[in-house]
Amino acid sequence: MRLGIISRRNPGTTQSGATAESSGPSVGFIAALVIMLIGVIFTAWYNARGPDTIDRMIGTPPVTIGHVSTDLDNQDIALREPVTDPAGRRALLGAHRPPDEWQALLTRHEAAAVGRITLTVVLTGNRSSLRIVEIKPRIKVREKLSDGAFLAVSREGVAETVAVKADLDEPAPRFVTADNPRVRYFSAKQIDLKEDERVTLEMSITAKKAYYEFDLVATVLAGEQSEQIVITAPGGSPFRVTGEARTYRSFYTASQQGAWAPMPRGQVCQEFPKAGSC
Amino acid sequence: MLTVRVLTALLTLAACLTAAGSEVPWAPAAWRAVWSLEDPARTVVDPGDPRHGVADEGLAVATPEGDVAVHDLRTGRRRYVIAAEAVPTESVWMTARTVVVLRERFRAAERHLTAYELADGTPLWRATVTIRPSGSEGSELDYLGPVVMVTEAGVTYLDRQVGPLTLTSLDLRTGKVIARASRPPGCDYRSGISSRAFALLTHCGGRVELASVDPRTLRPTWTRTLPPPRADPPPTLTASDDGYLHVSGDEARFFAPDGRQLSTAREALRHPADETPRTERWSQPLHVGAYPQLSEERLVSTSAKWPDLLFLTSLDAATGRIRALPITAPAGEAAGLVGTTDTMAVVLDATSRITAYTLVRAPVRGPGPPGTVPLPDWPDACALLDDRAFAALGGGYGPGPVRRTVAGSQAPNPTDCDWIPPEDDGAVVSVSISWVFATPAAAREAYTAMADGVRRTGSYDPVTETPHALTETLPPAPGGHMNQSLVVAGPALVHLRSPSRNALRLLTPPLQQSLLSRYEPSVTAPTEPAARPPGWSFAADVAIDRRLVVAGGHAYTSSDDGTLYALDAATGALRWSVPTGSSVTSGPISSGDTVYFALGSGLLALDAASGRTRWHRKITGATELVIDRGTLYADSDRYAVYALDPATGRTRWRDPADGVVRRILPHPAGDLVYAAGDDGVVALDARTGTRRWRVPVARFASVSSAATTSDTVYAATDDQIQAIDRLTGRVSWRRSEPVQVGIQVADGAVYVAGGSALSKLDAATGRRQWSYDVGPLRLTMNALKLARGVAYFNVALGRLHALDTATGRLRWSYPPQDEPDRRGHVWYLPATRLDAFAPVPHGDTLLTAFGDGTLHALDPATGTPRWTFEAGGEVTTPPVVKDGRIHVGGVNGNVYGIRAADGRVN
Repeated sequence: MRLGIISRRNPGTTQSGATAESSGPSVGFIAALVIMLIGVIFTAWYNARGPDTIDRMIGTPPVTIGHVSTDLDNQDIALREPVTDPAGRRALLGAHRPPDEWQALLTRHEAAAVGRITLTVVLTGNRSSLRIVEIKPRIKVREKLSDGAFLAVSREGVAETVAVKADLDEPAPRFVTADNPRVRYFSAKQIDLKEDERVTLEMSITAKKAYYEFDLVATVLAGEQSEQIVITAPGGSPFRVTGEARTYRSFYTASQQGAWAPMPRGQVCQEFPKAGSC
Repeated sequence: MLTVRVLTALLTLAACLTAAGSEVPWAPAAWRAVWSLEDPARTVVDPGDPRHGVADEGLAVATPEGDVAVHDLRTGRRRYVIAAEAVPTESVWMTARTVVVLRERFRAAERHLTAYELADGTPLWRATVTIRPSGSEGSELDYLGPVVMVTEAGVTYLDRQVGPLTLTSLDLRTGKVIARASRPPGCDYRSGISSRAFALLTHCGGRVELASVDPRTLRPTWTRTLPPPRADPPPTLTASDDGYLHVSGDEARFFAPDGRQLSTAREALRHPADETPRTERWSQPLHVGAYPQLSEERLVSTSAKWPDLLFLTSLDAATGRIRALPITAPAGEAAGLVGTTDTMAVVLDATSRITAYTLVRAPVRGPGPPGTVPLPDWPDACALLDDRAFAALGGGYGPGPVRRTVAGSQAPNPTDCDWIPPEDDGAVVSVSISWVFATPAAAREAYTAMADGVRRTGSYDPVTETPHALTETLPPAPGGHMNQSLVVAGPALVHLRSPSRNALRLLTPPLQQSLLSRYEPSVTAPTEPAARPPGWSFAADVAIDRRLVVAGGHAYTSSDDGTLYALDAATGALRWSVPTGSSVTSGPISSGDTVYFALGSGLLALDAASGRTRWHRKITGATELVIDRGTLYADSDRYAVYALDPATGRTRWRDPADGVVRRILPHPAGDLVYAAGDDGVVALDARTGTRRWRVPVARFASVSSAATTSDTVYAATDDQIQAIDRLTGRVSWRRSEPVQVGIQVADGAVYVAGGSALSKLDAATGRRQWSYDVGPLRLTMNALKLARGVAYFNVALGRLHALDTATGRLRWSYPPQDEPDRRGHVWYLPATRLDAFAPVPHGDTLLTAFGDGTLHALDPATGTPRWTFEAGGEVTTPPVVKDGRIHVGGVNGNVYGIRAADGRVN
């Protein structure tokens, strides 16, 4: 998880640089006086700035991103290029592949969820009171559909329902409510958090026309200050989603041993009649 | 003098103490199987409803009939039986000279507890109690664990239907109430039972508490507060019989019986390599399963991470470290721990066998994991096969070595090796060192038990079986098919896995040779299997489908993954194969130079010689495919009957139906075709498809079987049979009769089987002429064949009965006595393979399969077996005899060509 602060108002700093020359027995008294004076000034300043002053001073973001996950394990995956190198094929097809090799393969081949990705984000408040006024997907890369390899998961099970959705094919993608795509979710509902209070957000992002790399930008209002928090995938990489291509250069299906196996030609032809071998 | 004596005695004592101090430390080294028996209930271990009880004095086993058989734990010998009562037996326990039985009527609130003297089964007491079902719907209480907990200190149960968790304890020997206690509602409870107490894990308002509860007082003897869970799933609790506890959760923890935390999961799996060997005392086993591994601070024991081998997992009582030793039982998720004592463990395995193991102690040889040789002595999994071996698969394979962590230490050599093909059209092959036992004898014992398990319930390849290797076809599972070879040599047990059975046939011998070269150089790997089955065999990757035809020198068939095959009928060589990716719903049928298949995706006509597609029609899901007088008839899952030109696939006519069509019967006269199913029986003009007449059936009924004679159509639903004039559709007679097997008509009689009898009816009147009771027909996979005045009636999971058609008298049955142990494989067969058990007369032999993985050739006059053929799994196609060779397919993926004369080699 990575937390990126795009803009933050400088909370200001106060330095007390009092110096005093030694003047006999009054030095101790003067020092105590200075300390007391500093205390009075600090208290007045702290009360004027509010209880979140220290947090702002030391750069604590208004919310902590406690958890970010995607449902990539339950989604069809598309890779930008076919996996041809021996190490990559081992990570893709090997029954005993170490998990880190699999993750490295996904990163190297810019693995994207096909059609839809569901993000789960847990945010924890770091201020006495704050409001999340907006979260928007921010597209960083838009390219042609991924067609290197298609990794099909089992289509059994119930499709989960997520109340918040965004379509990256829209000119200015925003989160809308699932039951009415014309209603912007964060105009209808804003999230208020207190210190250490936690909110779990589940958001579905769809794409049909292109391959996208994106992150989420949350606008947080804490006191009079507005800050933006960037939410990325674990490891700091962008989220990736792509529309489904008409065909792919290679096809795989989940194997009994927990890895992937080449998809039988008949299944390829059923699901992708435009595939070259059909 | 006295001083000298005293000094001598002291010196002797000192010498003894020194010698004792230098003795090699001892520790548990192996679990040795001492006896084994079939579980009569064929069930799985369920701590909530135990069907078995174990104590020092014996083993109690509940039977499906409600009896409780009490066995001697040392020998397995049955000592006596507690007879069944009118109320069905639900659970059984055994502890401290007492057997406790819970009996329960279906859905009744009250249950009956009875305690018996273990020595002779004398009843001690009875009590009728109301026991709360666990996980009661709508309840505030979330309780996971047994609702009855039997310990040496008493019988404790959850005694209310609703409200807070209320526990009541009864004295074990008198049944008197000795304690009652409540726990607050709105909390989450988990329990675990040991022989003297039970542990309760309570999650209440963010506070998690572990307590050991004395059943006599229902008060905690100790309590510990645990960190609250950070995320789902909530912690679970497992207890060993001697009171050690395993609390799973974010971070698994182990506790001693006195409440001391012994270790976390990470600490439990840490085994310092430089630790000085010492005498070890272990807890009784907590778990049976795959070798425990650490995953995100939890202890997991999944066979996906460890090749198929079962381990009994205990704790080192001093350090809380995990100690796991392999056992000689067939692996499988269904395996469970029945019970343990200080020196024994009883396991129910995936093949429904109960096996008792005794713990063997031995001197500790080093700091490595127990029960194996030092990890550096394990063979390199990637070195067991080489490029030369893979040349037979086209070459270019690359190894992917993986080093497994065993007991906290990473193996220095690869323990697993994935061989990856250069292109996607090759199959991945994986080699796994399952375990290297401390002795070759232990490895052989494990291999024998696992191989026996495979032969009992699995499907295997007899073609590649040797004294060192056995290949099995694993049951279908999400993610495709998989096959594996189990290979043993010296102390090493190795698994070779691939989705390709052909790859395993090619690679199992060199793998076996590699292991033998290392461990048993004096043994030459058999080049020929020890018990090579007769004839040729072809290995498809998955089960052969329901039908096989032989024509034009080819055997045509299909497999469960939708691949169509043409094999040379004389040699078994593959002529062509077509992977369709769709299920085969009917066929193949052969006509001229074309072979036809009905698929979920449509009808397919292939050139018989090349497999090239002649035509394809989107008539999907046909279950009937019939060719007659130059017309191909098929139904479809869209409820219609089609008549097609077999050369082009062009539709000649189509009759829409109102429901499923189950049979299409062209009449030998050539004028009419009968379609039977949900619509009843419909007569269609064979040339135009015009409906001539229709005889409907009752609502929700469907005609499941039909037969014709020169003037009559006989049609049967599940409970009625009727005779219909074939030209006018007039019903001449109708009779209520249970029908579970396709009706057959011959010599003026209709033969029908259902309920528990085979009956002969007068074809003209429907009057019963005789009836023969064969016992309950448990499955629909029964088959009837009429030949030479004999009705051969094959009852699946039962026997083949040969009846005189004139009198209905039994001529013979085979086997003469029911043999329950033969049963098993048939459960894997889908119900659509109705005709797999059809007896086939051939010359002076009757061929039949029963569901025991064997093809039987019998004398049709006497039922005497002429020969039997072990197919390595259930036969899935009716045998087809052509040119003196019997062709059958099997659930293991093999297609065989067997010499019909003697069932031997060509």
